[in-house]
Amino acid sequence: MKTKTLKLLGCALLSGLFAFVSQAQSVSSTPVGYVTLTINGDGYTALSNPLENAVVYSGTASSVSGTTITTSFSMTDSELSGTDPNGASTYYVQTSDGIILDVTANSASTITVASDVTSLVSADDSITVKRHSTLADLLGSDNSIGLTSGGDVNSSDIVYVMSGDGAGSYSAYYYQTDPFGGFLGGDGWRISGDSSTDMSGVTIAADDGVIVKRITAGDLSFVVTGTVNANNHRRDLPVGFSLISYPFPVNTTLDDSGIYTATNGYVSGGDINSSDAVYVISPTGAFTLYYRQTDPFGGFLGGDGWRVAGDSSTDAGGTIIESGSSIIINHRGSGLAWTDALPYSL
Amino acid sequence: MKKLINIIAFIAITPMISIAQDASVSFGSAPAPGGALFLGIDSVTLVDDTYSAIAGISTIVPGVGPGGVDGYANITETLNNVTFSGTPWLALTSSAGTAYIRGGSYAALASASAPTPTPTNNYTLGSSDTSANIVVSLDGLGVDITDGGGIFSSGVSISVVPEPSTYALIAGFAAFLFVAIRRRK
Repeated sequence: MKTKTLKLLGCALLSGLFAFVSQAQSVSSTPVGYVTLTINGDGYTALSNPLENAVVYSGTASSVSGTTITTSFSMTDSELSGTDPNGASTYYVQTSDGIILDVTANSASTITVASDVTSLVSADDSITVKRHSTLADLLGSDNSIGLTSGGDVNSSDIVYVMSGDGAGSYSAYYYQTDPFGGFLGGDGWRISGDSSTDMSGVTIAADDGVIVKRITAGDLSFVVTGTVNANNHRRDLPVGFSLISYPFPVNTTLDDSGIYTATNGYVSGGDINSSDAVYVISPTGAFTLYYRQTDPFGGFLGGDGWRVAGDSSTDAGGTIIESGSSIIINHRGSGLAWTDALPYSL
Repeated sequence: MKKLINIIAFIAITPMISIAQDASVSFGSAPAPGGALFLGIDSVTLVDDTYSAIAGISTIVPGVGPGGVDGYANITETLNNVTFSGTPWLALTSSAGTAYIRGGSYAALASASAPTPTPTNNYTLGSSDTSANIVVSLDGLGVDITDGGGIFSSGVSISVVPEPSTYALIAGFAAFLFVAIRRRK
């Protein structure tokens, strides 16, 4: 994959690099910085935003009941209850072990999330509240990065966002430049089939990825800024396809990523057809498939470990998942809990 | 044995994969200067290469387009579980009947199954289309194509032309009326 995170510079650009405010009711300060991402010309690029929006609130859960978390910090009533143009939550609660819970409502002292969390959050657990990144956060609100932009999806670069239900279906977004000064719906981010609704606020959930199809030649490099994730990572994947990313601004490998452990639900079999598959898209749109092989014959089939489809014996565990990229996982089991500890110290 | 089971399982799942193809389709007037204008045409839709309806495709009624000119028609929609893969026709229906046309750049409908991103298919008529490269099916009515008649005086305007038999029918009916009126007098 040609996508490069060229560098993560200045994770200490602002004051208070490691200065976490000690009191639970205060907003903490975490390292911020910027990352340069590249979109391949005339082809496909799997992207993600390795940085996040700043922490809005941090503290602890005073108590938990059903879908309601009572917080140690005070908030403004309903300030976290917004939704994006697709009706998805714009804010989320993250636990210290990385679980992400979409916020549906809040009062001055409680947060309501989308599903029962009594098994996920306990009293005194540390929690942070953050705003989801959006299409505009990643690619800009006014197409200043220079994506190809026309009057419809056919004449524009396309940003694909995969559904979260495992079906593997995509929504196609593009930056519209209205050649008729507003007749077609004006300029801005649009979804294929609706030329007038502003889609710049569509959320790209933390550790989600996107695929960009650029229809013209010439790579595009651009800078995203944000806050470094200070929590561990956990992402529960459904059966089927998920377009996801490694949520830290550093590279990792298949071996180190935590996608496979013996107990996290990853389905590891004797070949690609009986294992969860990791898809890495190339600029041409073709996929390279990786899987974690468990050799049922103790080495006869090539042994245990990460393999590329078609080669059951060569170790592919060192394959790099670059920061700022994204991958697709096809999970065949009943739920995959992808967890990984924070890969750096703050 | 396990490998055999895996192969059987793969074969069993293949038909499910093959019918789960999605595609994004745009058709009608290109949304840009030069986009076609459909004049005197009641509806525009997309049909397959045997002129049959394609599941999930809408019918558009041409309306007022950019610059206040009548005859603009454009839509983009997503097809799920696509089974048709030929090259579609634009079906133009007027009171005289239906004509079928293809632009010069039309290609076979492309679709893909997850996780490949949904292909886009463009069946619009734009500034690069002229009377010379628009294909008109002999299985429908003829069309009258005016070069430079599209949006902002580029591209084309298109209207359906009744076939000769329709003209003959109209002429016959007119003659009948003429004779009937004269006899009354």
